[in-house]
Amino acid sequence: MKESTCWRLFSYLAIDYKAAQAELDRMAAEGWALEQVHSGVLARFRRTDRTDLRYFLDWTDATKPEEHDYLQLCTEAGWELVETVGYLNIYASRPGTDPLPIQTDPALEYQRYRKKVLRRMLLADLPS
Amino acid sequence: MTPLGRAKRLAPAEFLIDIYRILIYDNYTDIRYNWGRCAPWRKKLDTLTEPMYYVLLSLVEERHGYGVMQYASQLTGGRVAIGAGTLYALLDRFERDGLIIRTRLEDNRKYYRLTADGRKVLEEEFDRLRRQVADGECVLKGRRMP
Repeated sequence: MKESTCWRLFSYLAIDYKAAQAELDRMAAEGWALEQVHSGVLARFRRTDRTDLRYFLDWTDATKPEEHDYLQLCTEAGWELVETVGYLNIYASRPGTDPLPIQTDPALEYQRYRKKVLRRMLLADLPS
Repeated sequence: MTPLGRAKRLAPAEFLIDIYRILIYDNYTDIRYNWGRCAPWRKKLDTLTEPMYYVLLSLVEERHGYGVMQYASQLTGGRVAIGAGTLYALLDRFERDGLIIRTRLEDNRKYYRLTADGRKVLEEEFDRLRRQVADGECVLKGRRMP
């Protein structure tokens, strides 16, 4: 009998978001869907029959009202926010959709990374 | 290669400038934009990238964000694909630059439309592209120069 859940170490830094995305896509290709990330380091996966499951990692500050528009646009485009780990937001493609990547312009993607992640990381390190 | 993948080694001064830009300069971008909207020396867009051009073109008629994505893809037969995050950043910038305005909110969807300034920028870009095509025809197709 196949196991219905599995656990993996998920200790990616914000700067390694592409590697984290590749890992999630690899797990999805093997029939595992991300369920939750515990304590920011342990990912729990469940079995899935979906063959069209893909992931995209991005950053956002969900406490800001304007970011709700961002999330809504992502949802309409076929991405569903499934988990937030530190600075990372993990989106999964919705069933039956074949969405475009959330970021299609590398320059704008880098700008958003700087604005949402680098500044917060540097400011958090300044007092120490 | 994306800017994230660059392997350039920064000199100490460059490193400090980069830290300054991340911590302070970008923080005041919003203020500069809002202040700059009524200033004659406001930095203008020199040329539009392809996604920028198609976003503005889509907003000749009033549309919401996802409608812009669909229209741009439909208009170009899927050649120009604008992701949700990229579109969000462009709409934000155009709105701050006064090229588009938010017209209404319906079903939690924001609708946008081109302003007079936005139309001017779009038409200037259209003329620039037309001149480029004409120049290309002169050289590549051997058409007579005007």
